[in-house]
Amino acid sequence: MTWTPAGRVGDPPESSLDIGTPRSPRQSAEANVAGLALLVAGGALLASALADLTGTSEDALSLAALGVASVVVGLALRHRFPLPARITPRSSLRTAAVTLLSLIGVSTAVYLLTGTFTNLEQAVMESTSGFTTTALTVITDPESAGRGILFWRAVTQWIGGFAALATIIAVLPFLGVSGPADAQTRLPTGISHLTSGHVRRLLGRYLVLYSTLTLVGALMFLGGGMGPFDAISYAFTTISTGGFSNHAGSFGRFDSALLEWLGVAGMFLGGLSLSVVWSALRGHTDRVVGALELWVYVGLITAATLTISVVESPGLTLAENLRISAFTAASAVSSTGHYVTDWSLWEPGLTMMLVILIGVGAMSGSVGGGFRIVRGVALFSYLWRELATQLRPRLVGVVRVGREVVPDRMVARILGYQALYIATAAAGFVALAAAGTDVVTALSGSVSALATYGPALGDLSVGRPVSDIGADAVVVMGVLMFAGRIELYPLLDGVISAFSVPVRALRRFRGRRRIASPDGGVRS
Amino acid sequence: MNTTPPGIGFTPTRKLRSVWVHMAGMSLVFAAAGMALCAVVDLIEGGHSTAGLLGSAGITAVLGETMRRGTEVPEDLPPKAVFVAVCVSWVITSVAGALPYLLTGLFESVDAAFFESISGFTCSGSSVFTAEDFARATPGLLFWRQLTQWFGGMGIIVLAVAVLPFLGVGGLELIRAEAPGPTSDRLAPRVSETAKRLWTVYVVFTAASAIALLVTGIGWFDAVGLSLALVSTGGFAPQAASIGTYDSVAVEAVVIVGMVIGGASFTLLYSALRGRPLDYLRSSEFRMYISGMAVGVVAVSVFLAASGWGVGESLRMAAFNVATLGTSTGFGNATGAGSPGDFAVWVPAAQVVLLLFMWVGGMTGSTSGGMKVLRAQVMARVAWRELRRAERPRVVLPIKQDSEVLGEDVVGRIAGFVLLYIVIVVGATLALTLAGNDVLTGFSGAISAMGNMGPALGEAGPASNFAVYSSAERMILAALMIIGRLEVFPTVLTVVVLASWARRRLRQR
Repeated sequence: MTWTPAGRVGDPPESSLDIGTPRSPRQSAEANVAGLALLVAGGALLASALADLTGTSEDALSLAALGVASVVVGLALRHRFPLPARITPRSSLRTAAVTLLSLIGVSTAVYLLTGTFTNLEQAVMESTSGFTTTALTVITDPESAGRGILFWRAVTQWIGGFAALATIIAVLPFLGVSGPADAQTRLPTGISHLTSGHVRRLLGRYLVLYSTLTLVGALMFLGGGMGPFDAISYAFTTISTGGFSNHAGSFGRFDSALLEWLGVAGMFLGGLSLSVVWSALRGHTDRVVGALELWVYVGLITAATLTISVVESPGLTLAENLRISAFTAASAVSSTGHYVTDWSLWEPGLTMMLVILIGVGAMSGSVGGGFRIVRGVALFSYLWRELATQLRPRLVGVVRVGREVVPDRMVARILGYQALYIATAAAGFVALAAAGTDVVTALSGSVSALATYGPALGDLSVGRPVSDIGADAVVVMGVLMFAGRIELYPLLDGVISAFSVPVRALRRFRGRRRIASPDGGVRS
Repeated sequence: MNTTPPGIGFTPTRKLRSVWVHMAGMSLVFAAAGMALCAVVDLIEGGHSTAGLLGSAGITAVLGETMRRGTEVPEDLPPKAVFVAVCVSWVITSVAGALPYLLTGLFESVDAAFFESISGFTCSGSSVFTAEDFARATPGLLFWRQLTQWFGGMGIIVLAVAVLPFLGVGGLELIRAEAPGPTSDRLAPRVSETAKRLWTVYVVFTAASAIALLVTGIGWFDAVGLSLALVSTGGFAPQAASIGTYDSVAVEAVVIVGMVIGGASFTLLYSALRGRPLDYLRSSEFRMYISGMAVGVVAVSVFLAASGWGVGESLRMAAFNVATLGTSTGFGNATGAGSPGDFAVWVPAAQVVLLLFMWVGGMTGSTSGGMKVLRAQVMARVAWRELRRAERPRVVLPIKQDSEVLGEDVVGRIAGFVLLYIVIVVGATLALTLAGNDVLTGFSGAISAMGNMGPALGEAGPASNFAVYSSAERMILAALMIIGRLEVFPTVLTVVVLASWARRRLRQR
């Protein structure tokens, strides 16, 4: 196959971004960014080794060795494969998937080499859960693990959270969907006008914001009475909406009202759009007040809290009741997965409501997962227009989110995303049931994994090790979490590529046969 | 601004011009004729509810005839008048349909009778009849139960349009608002002619399936009764154990074939009867419908066989139940609770496959419910296009169906429909579970009612009935059935229109 600057011969240019830029075979965005991720992971491993030294120190050496190895490989990759000046949409998709996969690979090696798990599946699941910021864990008793491992677990979620942010800032705009949640371009704006310099600046800004929020979280937890180690770990897993915990009972273990409320605040921050945070810090109150998505986010959490407190009140004081309700609601909407009580045992209506909230998810431009509130709001506006047009066929309406008009091209993309999301969730539902889980577990598990929340109803209720649902179902959950964390596209693109190779080969074969046919059939 | 309800407007010298009153009146007249027929059946079969049935027929006929005679259809029909007319006619007819259950004394509670009537007219087949009720019900009443499904299947509005002399474009709009599916083919240039042909095909199909069932050896009452609910993909049966009563492969085979034809487009059936049976294969929706069901049967049989069943039994149960849910009919072949046909006790994997069939349902232009195969196909294409667009954001990719390009507005409307469908099902699930049902019973009940299926999972499985839901919950389910039967938009729009009318009136006060 011949490659030209713009791709394969005969292909139309994939986008205006990549016209006229020679691409040397050594350049690779995939390998370069994966190398960067390995560098970061290496640094995090070295930090984990240090953290281990404050505890039993048994894993420090292996963690440090792996850290050095990861740094070396990362540096080598970055040196060997420089970043191309222009990246095609396809390549950006692959970059997202490859980066996440390589991070999972490193983490799997960590768990296996330190002897945390002896089973490959379990190590992969724990790593996937970490980097996809999902709260499912294989470890039943985290307290028995060393500090180094606990720190590494927490840090995987933190890195995973930023990787997710990077995906929505740097990858999705290329695809013409769900653009960066920048203050100016809060709404999906289609094909991005962002130059790579702009993307870099945005990424830098988001990294600073994300780190600041984490610091705030750590200080909050420290002030609330956690030890420094726990405070940092919980800040990592809370601001990243991850949900891993250093203790078997998650936040419920501390038995502290103050800490639980601080947890609510932390999860709220995690699900908050960073562009809103940015606007607030810059003093643009009008932008904060005008962000409809923010008010829907706040409204969902408040409404859920009130509903839970009214329906589920087993002899608690009002304050306790509100606290538990708020914690569970904030955890669900921000797709974190921390818990103070096993909510799957509540009234069926409440559990259903929580599963729905988990599916809707957090704000766009946040670390949280799910379908995203902004898409939901846009779709409701679209439905309203659809109803209005049926009543008045000549009506020309617009779809809005708050004061902003969503262009029709974008609406079509959101509808497309909706179709993809439903199809993926339905496939996950069937696959989970085929792997042996009961119907309710399969339904709620599929929604929850895709939203990177994690726990669900039935066999997947909070506090139970995920391995309870059987190895096959765990694999399905892992794939769904992976798909959900990178906004479906990169994974599904991989699936398509895998399918399209034989399909293209078949077509070529058929084409050849047609040319060769004696009746002179038309070449298709 | 117009402050009168849609379609009502007085002109001094003429009759009241209101399409919804007129349509509802016509529907009531047909319903009354049906009740009278049931009284005759009751007399022949030696039942003791002839008086009750005749009484219901009388009340309904007088009311209907008054409404019909007193009004006329205005020449131009704005969309909102059409939606309101169809929706209101359905509700009024369903209320009238509850009369026989009440006047014959079978039910004392109005809501149970109303639920049974709505479930009948919407071809859902979810029943609150317990085994005791079946024992107490007279033949005439059981026949009425079957007949409601037959009326509802092809659509009472289509019937009305067929006998209205000339309705012009408005008639087609009425049929569109009632017919299942996003498109409705015209079989003839004139709308009333189209409606007549549809009903002719329907009658022929009913007669054929009744004869086929008669040949299998079940009695004439059961054969005719079953065929009424079969061609309409309704799912009521004159026996408490539904098809499980006969426990016969022959009956099940006839029923499967009938359901599959009933769940397929009637336009295609019309072509087939006119000597073009191959039109079936030319429709990509039909190919998807059939192959989807074939895959479903294989998948369910594999899951059942893996759970320790014999291969033959697995295949039989899978074929019958996939067909009954894939066509939104809702017959059951369970011989009792926990028997092989009771899919509420199957392995979860098989149940999930059945849930998907409950969601999708049959073809457009058929008597079946659900989201429809065509919409599922289009949505799958939209999803596929979205992936292709991710690679090449600026590429223009039209969505095609049967090698015809669908306009973006049609695609958008289908996506909107699917979205609205899911939102309503999720909302109803939330309401049903908040009312105290477990998640499975609530979720499957909502999907089942919205898709006009009949049985659900959990406590409302095929060997059970919808009496497990409380009266309030049954009203939610009944609303879902009407929303689902009229394809979501008309009902929702009617609510919007009536709400805005009420708001305007309140503001005027």
